[in-house]
Amino acid sequence: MKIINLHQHENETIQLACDNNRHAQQSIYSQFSPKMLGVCRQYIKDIQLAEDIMITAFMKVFTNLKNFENKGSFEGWIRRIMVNECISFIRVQKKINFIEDENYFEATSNNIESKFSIEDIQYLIDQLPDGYKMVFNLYCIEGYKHQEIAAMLNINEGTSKSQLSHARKILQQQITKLKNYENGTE
Amino acid sequence: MEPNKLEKQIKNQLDSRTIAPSANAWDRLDAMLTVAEKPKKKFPWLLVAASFIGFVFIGTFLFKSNVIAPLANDKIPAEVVVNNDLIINSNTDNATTTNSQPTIKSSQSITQNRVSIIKNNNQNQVATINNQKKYENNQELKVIETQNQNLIIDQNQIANVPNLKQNQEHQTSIESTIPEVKKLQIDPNLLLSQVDNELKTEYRETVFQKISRNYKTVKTAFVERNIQK
Repeated sequence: MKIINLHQHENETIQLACDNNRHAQQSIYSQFSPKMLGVCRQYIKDIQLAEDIMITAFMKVFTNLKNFENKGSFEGWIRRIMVNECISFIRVQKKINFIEDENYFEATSNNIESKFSIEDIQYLIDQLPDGYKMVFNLYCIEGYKHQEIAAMLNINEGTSKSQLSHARKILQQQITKLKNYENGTE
Repeated sequence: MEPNKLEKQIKNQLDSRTIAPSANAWDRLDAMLTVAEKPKKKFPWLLVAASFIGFVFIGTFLFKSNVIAPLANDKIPAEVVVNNDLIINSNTDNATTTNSQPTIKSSQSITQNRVSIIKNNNQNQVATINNQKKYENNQELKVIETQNQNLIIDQNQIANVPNLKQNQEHQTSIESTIPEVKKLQIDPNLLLSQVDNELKTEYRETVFQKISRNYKTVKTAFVERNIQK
């Protein structure tokens, strides 16, 4: 049985793409574009716009490929570029003003066990305001800390926490409404 | 405020989600990459360096040619050209015959060379030997004019003739004629000075003739033009 070293193959592809080998670039695009479009879709409601942003982000990936140092996963590096591109797009297009609310309350642990489809989840996230959505995605999905989110969005750490708290509150309300709708009580 | 179970569920489902991009998405990215890959116009350092080196070479060449030119002009008087076929170098400073050996630089065959024996104004006469005629006529060397009986050709001068004919087929025939010429005695320095003088006078005469001829033609043309007007 022949064992193929996947990392070695990936490194070779990256090296070729770094030398502007179009086949290698297309290979990387084909491998990661479906997932990255999903990431962009988390932040951007319009799928066409999300695709445009993904293409722009891939452009940055290929032009900055020589800066990839193989320290982390290649997918994580691409994902970070996608997230940064989405955030910069939202911030430029929509000019979000983050309002710091010091009197926010931390949401209690909500251990809802019910299963939601991916469409339902995306619908719930799309209902969030852009500021809440960004902080929620960065914290809950991407796994950034409040300090990192504050640095990324150029806001205070407290603002990030309050934004997350408000996002959770809205989500709980939306989930309760959705559950009631499914149960036929509403 | 850690993510609760619902948030973990959302994260897992979103991480595993894939959305296929549209068919022309890669074409658009490909076009963008092609535009970005076009080479930027860089300053042509290589062209500048090459042109600089070229200028340096040309400059040095011109400088050297300017330096050499006067030296070459100084050497010209010591070199006498006879009929464009025979070139005789003589050292005018040395009166001895051993140092004044004529060198012959002729690429043409000896049958086309002409050796001139120059008349001596005082006692020696200069005889002109036409080798072309000699070799065509069974390769015999003849003395055309002899007004004085003391016509002697220096052996050293004659000894150099075979050098000219090393690669020629007529060497043996010339050597056979040498004993006849041995009797003649010619002062080489005097001979060369005579050649020099004669050439100078001949050259001057031809130049003056050309000038006068051209002057006449110009004059006639000018007069004709005035008449036409």
